[in-house]
Amino acid sequence: MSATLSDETLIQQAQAGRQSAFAMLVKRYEQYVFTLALRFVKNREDAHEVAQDCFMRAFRYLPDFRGEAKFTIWLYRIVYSISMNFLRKQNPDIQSLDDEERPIRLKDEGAPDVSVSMEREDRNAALQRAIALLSPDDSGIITLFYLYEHNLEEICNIMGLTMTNAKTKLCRARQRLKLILEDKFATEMAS
Amino acid sequence: MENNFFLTEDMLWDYADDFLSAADKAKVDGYLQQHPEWRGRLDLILSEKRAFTALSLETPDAGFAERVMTAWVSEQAHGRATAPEKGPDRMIYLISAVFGLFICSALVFMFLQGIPAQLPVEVPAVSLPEVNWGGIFGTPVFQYGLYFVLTLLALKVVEKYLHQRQMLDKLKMQ
Repeated sequence: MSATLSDETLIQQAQAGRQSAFAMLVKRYEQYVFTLALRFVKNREDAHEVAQDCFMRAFRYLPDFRGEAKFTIWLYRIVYSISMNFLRKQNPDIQSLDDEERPIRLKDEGAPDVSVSMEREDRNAALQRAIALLSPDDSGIITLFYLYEHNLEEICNIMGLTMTNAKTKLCRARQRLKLILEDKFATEMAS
Repeated sequence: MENNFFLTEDMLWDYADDFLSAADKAKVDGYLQQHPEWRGRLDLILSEKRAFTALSLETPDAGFAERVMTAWVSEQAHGRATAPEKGPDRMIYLISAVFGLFICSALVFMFLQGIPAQLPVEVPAVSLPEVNWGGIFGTPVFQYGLYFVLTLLALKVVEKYLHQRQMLDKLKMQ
């Protein structure tokens, strides 16, 4: 029955203090929140921490949620904000989470070891690994646009970008992803 | 028109992502009809797009949702235990209401004093009843009452300010 309840109903119930509604919201969005957090922080352990913080903050501020924006947009904005704070805490010198100031890391820096044989890996797995090599902003924008199917306006809302900036970022993210795929995963992508 | 229109890969991606205006889209459509080799590139882009959208979501470790709920329930319990009582707010409203009532009663009383006890049978010439404003505003009840209400309002503003600062500190701590 829980699957049939709309987000609005669950939010209203949660705002009224019903614990089961909070639990259903976590179940419904845990994968989305976790995937997006993982795209930003690049590490499963950290992504768990960030995702939990996101839900806690979302619940704390749920009474203020008036439904002016879609719940997912509101929730992903929290994921973005917490992930960025997390990354800045990890590395206070970071000024930008984009790759504009940094070249593409074609040498792995803590990313999955791609030297292992990947003959059995399918195209999707290669794509996932390639996305993991992108900068947080690049992988985030690609995930939001292609996987979560948010439009540019919604992405601007989540990531606090202007329309032109978001479009440019998406375009550059695609170009960088293409470079990585050609450089490291040409075999998998051709299969 | 065709001579000065050159299609780029970025534009083709924009075409696939539906970012182009109707006019630009028509230009690309026309170009694709005249240059079938670009059709192949578009197909490749569309297939990459399909691959992006077909990516699976990552699953957090088992028990993640339960851990979140445990943390949430514990935070709520802690919040209830440490939340300040709502008493002071109610008390301020109650005092304000009593004083407001008191001032209003005083005003009504003063106003009635200005009206003659027996009204004339005939309607007098058009003249407004004279109210002794000086008498009303000059009464100690009004003067001290006004100071009291203003003090209460000032206290309320200070309380709100402190509350906001507390909230901001909490947010910074997070």
